[in-house]
Amino acid sequence: MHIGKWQIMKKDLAWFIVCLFIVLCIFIGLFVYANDCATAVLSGASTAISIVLSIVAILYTMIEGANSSKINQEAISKLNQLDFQLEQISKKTIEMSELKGVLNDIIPKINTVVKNIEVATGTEDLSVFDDKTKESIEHLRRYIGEDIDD
Amino acid sequence: MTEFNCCDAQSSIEIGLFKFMGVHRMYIVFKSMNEWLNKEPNLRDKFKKTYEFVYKGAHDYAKHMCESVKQKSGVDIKIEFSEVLFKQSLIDAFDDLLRLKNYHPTEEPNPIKEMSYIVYWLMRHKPIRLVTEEVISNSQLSEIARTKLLFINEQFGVKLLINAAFEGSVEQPSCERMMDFGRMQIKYFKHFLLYYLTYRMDSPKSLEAMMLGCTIHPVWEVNPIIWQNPQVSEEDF
Repeated sequence: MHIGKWQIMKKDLAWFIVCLFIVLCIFIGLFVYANDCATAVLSGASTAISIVLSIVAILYTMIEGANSSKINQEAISKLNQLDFQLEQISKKTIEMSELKGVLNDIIPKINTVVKNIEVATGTEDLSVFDDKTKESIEHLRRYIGEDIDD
Repeated sequence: MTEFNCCDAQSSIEIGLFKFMGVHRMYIVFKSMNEWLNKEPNLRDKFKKTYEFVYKGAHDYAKHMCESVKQKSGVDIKIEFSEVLFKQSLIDAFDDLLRLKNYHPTEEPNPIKEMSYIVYWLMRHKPIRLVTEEVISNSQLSEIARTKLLFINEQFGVKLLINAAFEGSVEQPSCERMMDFGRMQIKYFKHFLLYYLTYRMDSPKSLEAMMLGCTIHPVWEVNPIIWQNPQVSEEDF
């Protein structure tokens, strides 16, 4: 069972009932058998209760303060982590943009080289055939090269 | 640079029939190309050269079709060429030609006969495929251009057959006066041949007869091997 942030166990409940029973017994005894002592006991008890409550309040404030400080610390470390990641991303972005610039420079050169290779292979690939086959291919190319609309 | 070599480790498939429990079943024998070519050592070089010639022609043809379509419509097209089907077509054609050679007293088949068998088997196996099929409905291309793209294998067959008969399209000087008419005839004949290969072709022998017939009184110079010795006709076939 939870009451606020406290988790109440069965054991705690049992102790609470026992203590309550004892306190009630004492109070009943005092009020029924010793009226003179009752005033003194009540005054002492109220003082004790106020002191305990003050101590509890102080402890509570301290614990909460510590907790919030811990939460703040986690948030700060996460922010630092994010900051580091952003820094890394910025570095990568700069590298990528530099690479893009290099690629923009290189790609046209590669295209030119590929075209040159294509032209070179297109003109010289017949060299692997013997003369007769080469001649036959040249003849066939005249028909192959005809207009497709014709 | 690609070297076209038919003597690599590619397998060929030999298909035949055997009788099992009274029923004919198909069997397939896988062989290397070298093993297959060794069936006829005398024709090995010729078959190898023919293979290289048609192979290179097919590549040039596919490239030309791509470039033409790009030039006329601005569209990039993709044409696939199956080397396995191509090899199988040539092997089947060479098998048929070997059977003929063993039966007829001839050293080697004439170009028209040879190409008729090759084209017949290319039409059966269709090694060239137009991948970018949507170009067929491109209205920027003419109807005949789209037909040639649709029947891309058949159009290649037309070029091979015409080249076998009229090597290099050299016009006859004696036919100068009727050259315009001759050109129109050739154009019509090519379209008819495309139609024939697409819808009517039933055998290599019909192709051979048709192609041989069109070499009589041609407007173009005929491949000299075809009519080199017509007096001894039995040696030509």
